[in-house]
Amino acid sequence: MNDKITTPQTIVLIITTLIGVWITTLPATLAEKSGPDSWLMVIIGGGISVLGAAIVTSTGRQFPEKTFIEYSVETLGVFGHLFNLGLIIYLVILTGMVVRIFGEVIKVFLLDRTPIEVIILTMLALCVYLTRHGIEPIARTAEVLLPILMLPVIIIYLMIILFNGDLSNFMPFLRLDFKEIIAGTKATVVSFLGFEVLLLFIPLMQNPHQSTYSSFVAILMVSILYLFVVVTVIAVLGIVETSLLIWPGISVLRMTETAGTVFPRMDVVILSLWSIAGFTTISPMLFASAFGISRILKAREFKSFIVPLVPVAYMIAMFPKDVLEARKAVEAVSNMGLFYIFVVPLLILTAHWIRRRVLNR
Amino acid sequence: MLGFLKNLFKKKQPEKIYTRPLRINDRLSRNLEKNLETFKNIFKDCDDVIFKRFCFGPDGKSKGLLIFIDGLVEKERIHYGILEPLIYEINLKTFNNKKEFLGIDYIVDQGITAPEVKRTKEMRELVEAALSGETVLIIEGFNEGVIVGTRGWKSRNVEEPTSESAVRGPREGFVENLKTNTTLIRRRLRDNELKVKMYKVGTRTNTEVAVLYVEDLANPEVVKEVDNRIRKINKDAIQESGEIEQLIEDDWLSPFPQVRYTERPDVAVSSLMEGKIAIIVDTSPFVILVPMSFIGLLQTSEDYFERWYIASFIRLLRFTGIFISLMMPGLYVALIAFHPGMIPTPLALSIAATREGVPFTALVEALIMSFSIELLREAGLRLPAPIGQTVGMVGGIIVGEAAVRAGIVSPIMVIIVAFTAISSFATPNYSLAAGIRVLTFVVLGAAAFLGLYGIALVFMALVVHLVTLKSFGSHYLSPLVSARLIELLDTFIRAPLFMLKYRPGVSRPQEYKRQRNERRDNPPREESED
Amino acid sequence: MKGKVFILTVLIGASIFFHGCWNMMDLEKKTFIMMMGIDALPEGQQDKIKVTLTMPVPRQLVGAEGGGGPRPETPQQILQSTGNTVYGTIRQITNRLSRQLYFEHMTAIVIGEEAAKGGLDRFLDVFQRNKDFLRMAKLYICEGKAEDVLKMETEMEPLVVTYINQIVHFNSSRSLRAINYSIGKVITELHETNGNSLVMRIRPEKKEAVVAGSAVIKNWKLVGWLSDRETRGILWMLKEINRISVETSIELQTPQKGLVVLDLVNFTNKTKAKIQDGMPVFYINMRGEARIVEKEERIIKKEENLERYEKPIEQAITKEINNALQKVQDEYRVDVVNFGEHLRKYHPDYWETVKEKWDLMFPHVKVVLNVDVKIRRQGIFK
Repeated sequence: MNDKITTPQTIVLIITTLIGVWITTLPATLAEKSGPDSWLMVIIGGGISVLGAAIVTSTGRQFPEKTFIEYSVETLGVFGHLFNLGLIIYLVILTGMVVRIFGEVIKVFLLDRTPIEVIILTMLALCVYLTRHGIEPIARTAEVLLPILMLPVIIIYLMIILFNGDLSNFMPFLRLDFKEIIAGTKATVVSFLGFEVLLLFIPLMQNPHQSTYSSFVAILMVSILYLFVVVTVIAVLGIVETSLLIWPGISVLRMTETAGTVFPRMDVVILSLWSIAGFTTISPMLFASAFGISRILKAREFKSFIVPLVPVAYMIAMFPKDVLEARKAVEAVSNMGLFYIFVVPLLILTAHWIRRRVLNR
Repeated sequence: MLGFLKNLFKKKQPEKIYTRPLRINDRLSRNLEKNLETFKNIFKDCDDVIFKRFCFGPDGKSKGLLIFIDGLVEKERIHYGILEPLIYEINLKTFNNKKEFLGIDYIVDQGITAPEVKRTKEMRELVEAALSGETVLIIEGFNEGVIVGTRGWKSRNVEEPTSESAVRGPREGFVENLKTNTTLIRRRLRDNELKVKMYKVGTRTNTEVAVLYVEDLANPEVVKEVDNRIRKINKDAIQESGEIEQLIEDDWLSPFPQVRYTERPDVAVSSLMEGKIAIIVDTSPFVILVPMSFIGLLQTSEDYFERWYIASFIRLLRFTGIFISLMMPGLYVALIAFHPGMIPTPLALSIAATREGVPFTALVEALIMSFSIELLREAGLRLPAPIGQTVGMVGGIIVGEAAVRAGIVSPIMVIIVAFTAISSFATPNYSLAAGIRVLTFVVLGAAAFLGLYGIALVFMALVVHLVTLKSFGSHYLSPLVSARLIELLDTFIRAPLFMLKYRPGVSRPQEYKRQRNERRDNPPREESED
Repeated sequence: MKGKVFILTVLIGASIFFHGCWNMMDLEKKTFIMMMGIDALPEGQQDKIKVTLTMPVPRQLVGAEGGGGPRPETPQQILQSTGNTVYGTIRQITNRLSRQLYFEHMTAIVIGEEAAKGGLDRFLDVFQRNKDFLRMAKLYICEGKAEDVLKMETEMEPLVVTYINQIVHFNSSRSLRAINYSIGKVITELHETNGNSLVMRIRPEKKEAVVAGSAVIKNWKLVGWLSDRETRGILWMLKEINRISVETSIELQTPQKGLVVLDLVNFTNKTKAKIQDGMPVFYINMRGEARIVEKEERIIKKEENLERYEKPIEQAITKEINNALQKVQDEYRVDVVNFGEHLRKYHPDYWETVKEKWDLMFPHVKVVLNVDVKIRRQGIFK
């Protein structure tokens, strides 16, 4: 396990980890919660995520050679073990939920008569194939796949917004009360979840001190993309319609005809490309889970933990009985994610600081 | 998953790295007759071996023996290089100066006029030399033999390469003679840093293999790795560089070729100039270049000889071609059987009309047609050229037309398959095209299983495979996964030559910069005439 | 370990693969439904609605276009059934069909007059809930029965759907007599205004159809029609014309004598609302260009003063808009010109106070029009 990732690779890896299944649902959640000011929520949410990333990475940088698993125990003692366990459980559940939502979208829009189990299992199998190679191939795969994913998406959405968008859908401007801002921001921050893998990945970087910088750049990029998608969807569909749809990001593709192209309807293409986004989200999470477990058990290799994780993730994915329940479960899990981003690192930092002072005396 | 298969077939490391089959322990004797006896014993029943005894020196007192193989040597050279000087001139000289009689040093240094001379006491070496076309000279009274380079046999002339013809570029191609091939390269690269290392590979064939590299460019690690891998080869016979390729490549499970072969000296030289390593195998006109990237396989020498617009356009065309040949039948099945909504309505209706009455599903139809076109290609390949063309015509046009008329396949399928085949031919590297053709069936299967999602899965799996694949320690997908963005200038497009200031990183050269000039000079201004 | 996993994967993969492919079905085994018509059945019958589908017969369709043989009788086939819900009725049709119904090529939905009067909401749900139905399909409301449109035998195009969709395509951008609303757009509009919108009007005749004018939907129900001139009056005010390059002809009574026909191009509008005495007043500024295409006057002038037509054409447009406004404000009393939406966007505080009673207020809203037309060209004749 000598492979380490460079700073640009880290940026790409975080970007692809963040861009995942949420991009399809984010406009609906935002339109429902914050109406015409959704775009602002994306910016605020991005800012808060940057803050979270700063907390996570600056904690990690205190221990550049260690993962969360080790330094939590070092600073918090027994509680550290608890937090470690919680983190792994959280990561596995998140993996399962992402897979489930991914499977739902593919099933609904592409393969309505194929059992969702097949979709989920094929995807997990592919992720296992990648994650067994370790972190560096994951990052390199992300490097190759990111442009393949992003270029068509951006071009097609750009065409849609240019020909069908109506920016007056974002009026009235700034008419939110505090509660709505909180709700909307939380919805965005949840869709930025995924960078907490940095809790584990910092020692895998060639230059751990650039972790804060990488996460900043990555979150900035993702914010821009989210902003673009949210603006496109709401500009085309309007607030009311967006909030009524379950996957507005995809429905918007089916509403408009990209005129003048060979294939007038690009939604199927975008969906198949979007499975790349799912793949590059699930793989790092699966890797993080396996890697975390291997660190907890002080095992030499992480590889043997990947395959046993698949049935677990699969079971979790199949647990919610319908897609609404899955989304509720995701919201519940995401609270845990927020806890691990904003609370636990601060606890560790405080404990670390106190310990140092005590030791100095 | 694939690692399992690897383990299954992994052999034990040979204990002795380089074993020779000639178990000759005899040593040369000082007695010529005894030596002759030994050699006759070694070359028992080898009727193409000629033993020539002759006498020379004052009064013909000294006796000599020549051993060579009929047909492998140029007899002229034996005559003018060995026999004539020994028999006539030494005789004369000894009359003039009787002090020193014929020591073997004297014979080698003054007697033999042939330029390549080597002395050895090893019987084994003498036998090997004789087998590879040298002449062995043994003299009465010495337990040391002399190997004289007299190689010369009938071989093909340097001709235009058939598998890599170019519109613009040199028309010389490599031939089956190793020495000619190294000459072709040396003639283009007059640099003392160009090193030629010789190996003998093949425990029985003793094929000569030359490894060429530019020492201050090529990465020493790669050179060492090549050296290691070639030494590890323990096969009895090596006849083609293709065999060497398979024995030294990184991942034998991969459908992608990890080395590039070429018939063109100019390609070999430009690769050497990028810090790559060329492996030339005697008896093979194909030279192997390592380390190679996926992108490198899609480049031709003409890319650099043409102007950059044309070269860039052709490169983009090739990438499209490889994509089409990989995806087209799969996409057809996915669209027809899974997502007909994606096809424009009029097209969908006309496809439906032509497919009515076709007894097979789109998948079976695609399988039949793809399979038969592979069959046609194979059939045409092995036949003499005129008949091969006829087979192509008969198969492609008549059978295709008849199949459509008979309602066995739909016309659109014929179009798809023909288009796929054409795209596959547009791939410059034959092994890559062949690998892609195999993958076409994988894509087809995935498309039949999960539609476009299946294709996306296969595509991602391919990306993962390519990303983890290495060629002699370099990333196979090199410019796409390394951080050296400047290389993208020479990847999908080919930027103007003056912009290509760096060598590609796939060979990890010792010196990246290849040209210094920042900009082209402006053309001289015309003098005004007043 | 590795070996077992590998073999297991191969086995599972193979069993899945050979088990069959769930979604796989070749397209010739599907029928591409091109068009759907929904009619209400008279009261008292067991079933409430009647659904008509048209399905092209691909072989005959392509034969008609490609081969030189005689044109086949019917390039399309009609499927009908009655039932209570749209999808339920469609399912009934499959009882008599040898192929699978496939809706992803359906680009026109026609709703009959009676059905629309009973309320659109009960039909539209199926089109937004199922991904099979395209949101870009066009929605028409038919004068009379929808099935008449579907059964029409057109001579210009082999398929009715191509015929009527092409009419809309040109009519909406070249003469501005029809609004080009897809079902997705209508649904969006209905959701935003809680049930008010315009829908394309279609009137079937024996061998051709007239697609012009619009149907007015109020509170999800059809309340009346707007003629093609009135529709154009509304369209001037809608934002839609900003996006498509509009071109339309207008006949003009000149001060001298005789008519002048002008083509109007590059029309843009800007709407502003001001609140005066608790009531909104809308100021609509329009700009556009025109060119003369026909002139009845016999006087041939060497130097034509084009400006003298500008005033009359501005007046003509104003009049057309006012007529249309009068119709929707006084007769139908329904806000289909998106004034409410404008208030919601640009005067949100005010909108909060009037939102509930907007339907009552709309008929009394004042509109101030300011039309500015520049005549740029007069053709190639003086």
